[in-house]
Amino acid sequence: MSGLLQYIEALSKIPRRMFFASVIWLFVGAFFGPYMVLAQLTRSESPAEYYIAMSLHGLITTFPGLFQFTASLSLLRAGFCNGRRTDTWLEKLLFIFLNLGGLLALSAVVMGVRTSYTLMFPLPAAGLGLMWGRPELTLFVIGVIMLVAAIALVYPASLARLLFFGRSVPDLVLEKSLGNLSPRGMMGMVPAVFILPTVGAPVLLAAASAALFLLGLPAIVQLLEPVNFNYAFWLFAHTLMEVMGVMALGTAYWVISRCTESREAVLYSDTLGRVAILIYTIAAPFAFGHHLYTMSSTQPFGLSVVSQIASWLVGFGAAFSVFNIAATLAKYKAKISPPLLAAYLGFTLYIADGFLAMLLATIGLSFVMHGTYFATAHLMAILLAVFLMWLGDFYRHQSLLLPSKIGDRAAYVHIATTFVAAVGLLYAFSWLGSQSVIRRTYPMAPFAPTDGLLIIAAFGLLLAFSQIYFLVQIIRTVFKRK
Amino acid sequence: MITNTPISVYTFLLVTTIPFIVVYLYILIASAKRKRSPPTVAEALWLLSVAALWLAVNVASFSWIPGDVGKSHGEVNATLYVTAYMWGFQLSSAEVKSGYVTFVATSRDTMHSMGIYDENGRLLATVMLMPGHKEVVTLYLPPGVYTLRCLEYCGDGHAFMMARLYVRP
Repeated sequence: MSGLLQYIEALSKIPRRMFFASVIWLFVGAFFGPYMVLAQLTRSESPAEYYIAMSLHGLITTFPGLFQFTASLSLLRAGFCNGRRTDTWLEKLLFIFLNLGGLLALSAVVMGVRTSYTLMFPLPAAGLGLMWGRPELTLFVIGVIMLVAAIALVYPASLARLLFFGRSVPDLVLEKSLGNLSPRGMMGMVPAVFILPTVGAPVLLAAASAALFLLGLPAIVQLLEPVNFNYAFWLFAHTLMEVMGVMALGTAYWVISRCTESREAVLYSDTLGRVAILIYTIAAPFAFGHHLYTMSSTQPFGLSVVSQIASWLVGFGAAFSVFNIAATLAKYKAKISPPLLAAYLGFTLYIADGFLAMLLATIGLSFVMHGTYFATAHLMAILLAVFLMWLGDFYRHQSLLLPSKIGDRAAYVHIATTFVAAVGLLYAFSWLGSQSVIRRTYPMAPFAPTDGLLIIAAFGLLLAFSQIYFLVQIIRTVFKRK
Repeated sequence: MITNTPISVYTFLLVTTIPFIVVYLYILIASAKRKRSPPTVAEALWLLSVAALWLAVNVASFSWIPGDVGKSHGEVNATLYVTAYMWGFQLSSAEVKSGYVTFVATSRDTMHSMGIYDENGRLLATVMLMPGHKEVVTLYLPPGVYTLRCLEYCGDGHAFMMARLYVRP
């Protein structure tokens, strides 16, 4: 028995640390969300204060927050489904890079660097001489290097080891994966292994060049040219979101197939699931050009058309999943539980947001929607959808992460309020976008309807309540054990 | 049918997503309450309808590009040169004659964009601007006062980055 406990500890120690670190980052980052809305309503802050909050909100919640959250749960699941330890130097390096990189970038923001959510502003080293000093910009770039290295190199390497290499310990197999190429097994994680290093390499090289440039050393300056960097960046950033989406979809398949009355974890059709993940994986990297439709002097119209078709093909993959999951629940009676509810509601939000994403990825509409709150609605909704689907994974495996279990009732409250807030924010933000209100501005344009801001404030506060409630439940599990 | 105005895009979003969310939630509740027979014909119908919609809307959408991005459907009345900088726009002329107007825009320092708003605050078109590159867009502008605004976050003065364009009859 003690041997098994030792194995479980080896399996869950680093993912558990990553999970708790991600929860802390998520709470710190999320704090700035309602803060920004209240600042817009009261106009009580200066633009500098607002943009510092915006930089922290985007940087912290996305990278050391949500990415670390998904990474921790995915490593845990890949580990125990394949019977492999998750406490090697790779996982330790991942933990260090994500958190130290996040801390360095955070310090740079506090020192004065203000970025957009996507890190596109400042362009590499563009801030130097314009607004910021060399020390804070160097700190920022080194932080970004660590974050990108963690996401594009260390994480895929760790996942590859857990899925394909290394010694499998039979006692460590706590739940069978049903194979690495099964959609209700580990198939959703495979794209992260192969795609992230490829699309991440140019950005990593650009970030390294920026660091060398800032330190006064020889660098590949062509990569720092704004248009070149823009292409390298969006290929990475867009594909990263798609890969996180595929992983979350795989998680939804994994959780939902295990929450029916069928004794075996089954989907309506494994083939449909496999096709959906393949379509996603192949189409996703070609879709990145939809971020650059409105830069038509540098992007050929042909590439824009390819990107629109690829973006819509991603939606086609989603349509397979919509059918497959609905048919699974039609064929096998659902057993309502927190994991099922979180994964299912997350998937529902993911698809609703997919409609919005397809509209944004349509060339003609991009020219009247890009840069408005319509795009914010998409970013917020997809991140919350991914969060919800992985919450399904969390609630299924919480006994490996927490000292004691969060009760079902509390879990339902958390999941339902998160979903309602996320749907509310999706429609409220997209409503502001339909009024042509510019995102990431403080104060908002004079024609922005105040009603829209009030609705965002209401749903934002509901989301904040929901996550504070979640944090309280996590803290309670510690005291419950004692 | 959807057109390329922001409000109609929002209407399309509501019409497509709200029924989806309602039906999808119903499927979960129905599944939890009773066992149902597996769909067979539904699978083929579903996939066919998705494919048909995908093809129809995707192909049709290529005609929604404002002014065909840089092309006019009539004689161009004026060409306006715009330079964006932190935090303002420099226009070659603040007044043009109504009709097709071609905007040739660039950035002097970092990433910006040029959003062209009409008097009602409706975004007619936006283009992303990079230093060293010129974006060209042609729009039909009736008489009125138009506002150019930046839609890409570009620092503390981003919200105040704007310029007026007067279009006379």
